[in-house]
Amino acid sequence: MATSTLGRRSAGTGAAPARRPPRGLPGWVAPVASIGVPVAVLVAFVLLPLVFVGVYSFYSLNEMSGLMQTDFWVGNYREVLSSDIYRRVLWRTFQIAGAATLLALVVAYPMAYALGALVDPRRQGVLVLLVIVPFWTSYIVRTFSWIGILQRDGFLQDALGWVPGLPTDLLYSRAAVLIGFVHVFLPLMILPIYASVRNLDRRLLEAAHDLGSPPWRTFLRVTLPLTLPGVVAGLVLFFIPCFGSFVTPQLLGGTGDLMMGNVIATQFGEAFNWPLGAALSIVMTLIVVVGLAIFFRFADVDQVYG
Amino acid sequence: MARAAMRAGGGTAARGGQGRGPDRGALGRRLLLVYAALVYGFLFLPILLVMVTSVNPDGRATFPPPGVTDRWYRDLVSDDQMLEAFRTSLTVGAIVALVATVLGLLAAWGLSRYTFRFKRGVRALFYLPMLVPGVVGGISLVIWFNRIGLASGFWTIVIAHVVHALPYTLTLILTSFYGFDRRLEEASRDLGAGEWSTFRRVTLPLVMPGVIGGALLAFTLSFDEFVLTFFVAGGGVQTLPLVIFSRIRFELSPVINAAAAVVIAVSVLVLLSGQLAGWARARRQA
Repeated sequence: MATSTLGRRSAGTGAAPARRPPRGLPGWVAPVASIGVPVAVLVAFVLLPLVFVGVYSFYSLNEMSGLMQTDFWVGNYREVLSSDIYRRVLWRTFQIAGAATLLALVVAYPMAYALGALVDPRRQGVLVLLVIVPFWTSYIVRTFSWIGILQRDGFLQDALGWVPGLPTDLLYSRAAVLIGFVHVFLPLMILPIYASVRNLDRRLLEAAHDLGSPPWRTFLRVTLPLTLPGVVAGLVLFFIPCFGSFVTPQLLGGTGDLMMGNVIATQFGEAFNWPLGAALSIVMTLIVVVGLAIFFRFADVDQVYG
Repeated sequence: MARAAMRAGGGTAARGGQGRGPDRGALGRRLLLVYAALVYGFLFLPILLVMVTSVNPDGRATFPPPGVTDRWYRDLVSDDQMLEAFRTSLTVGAIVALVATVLGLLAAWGLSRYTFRFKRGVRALFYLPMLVPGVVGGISLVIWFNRIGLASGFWTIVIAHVVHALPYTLTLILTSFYGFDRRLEEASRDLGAGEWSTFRRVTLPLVMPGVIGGALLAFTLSFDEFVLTFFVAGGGVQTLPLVIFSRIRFELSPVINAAAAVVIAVSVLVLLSGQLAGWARARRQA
């Protein structure tokens, strides 16, 4: 695998005969071990398992015994794509993940703008760290925290129940799922937008101002287009985990709001239809891959991680 | 913590408003900063609320809390299932931190040093676990462990967590590999040090911040991991997030708040200590 080694010889002593250590291991051991061992682990426990999800998605269940048959059968995919139940789940998953993503964009953009354009750069480090800190706490715990807030007679009712018209009994509803998603994944939306706002050339904004452009037009014609890579990155990075989510709808959503992740989990946990679950997983993975293709095509990756 | 965030936000609001550009937008800017403070509140308040509720005598998130109690923590300490799961989570986390850091160190060393065919593919493979949806990753491992005849339990959890943490530890360690002066290693070799002693006495100390950060991150990623664990754990072994999840679904008792507060405290303290150590080192070198 490792065919050549670079940076072995010191630049300054190029003329001197390379001093190979007389003792020690042959030259190929270090590269093969350093790259080879982690690659082997990932092939064994990521790549091959994923390949076998694909293989299993073509297996079938024996009608009589309920046991899996190792044949080649496209019926699982036919069922996923043609059955009403799975089409509805797929569509609902798109709707919920899409709505959460748009909501997160609306919440995150002004925040990211304030962080990247209005705050003293020397303070940005700490404030960005504060955006990341919630990410350090368990997904389960952060989702759980909303149960106490949204449940009947919960925190929201106690603290804001006097506000007329404010719905306070939200647990096990679509709204609860959306709130949960926005809360849990918001940093994924804020950080790439923040990065593109920070890289914004402020002289362009001043030029627009000097030329008499009103602020809203400057925003639409200068700021927004220039931060679009960050926005696209945020949309994709946020959408993907929502789309694949299984915990949030399980804990916060109603029984009618189950998403694709829940249906896949059911095929493995309760229905014991592994081939169908595998086919659903392949469909989900393909959708995620399309999302990532958009990400790498339109988002400026170096800028996002720069 | 939320209050600290808001205070920080408020402080910058005052500063940001001064002498920057035309004053016409000052109000808009101030509103934006207030809004940013509210978003910090949105991010932190629910987490804070769990901690407050864990000492609330009502046992749920009532407002205002009628007092303070340690009752739920006493319940937690006498809850054998929770304690067992806590121990399991700590043990798994420690093993995962060790293994993921060693693998990440190997990979970072190789990636920063050699060029070879398929390097882009290898790099993509290293980041693949980050991109696979949790549910898909989970069932792929269930299928695979079933296929190769590995019974689910402690070690399947460890394997799943190592794979989950590796991209993150690799990223951190790789950053520190690209961040130091390669000529130091050349100098060491020119002075007669072998490959191994150069690594041990020059390279490793230089990348140590990334290694320690990677290990701490791997520990917390493992400690908090739920989805993969849910699939690969089987019936016998349970980590703390698994127990919390099943309690939420089936009984929603106040002891969950205490357990959740412990989970928050462990990961935040571990990662904050890493961050502070990093800052302290940077200051010492500056």
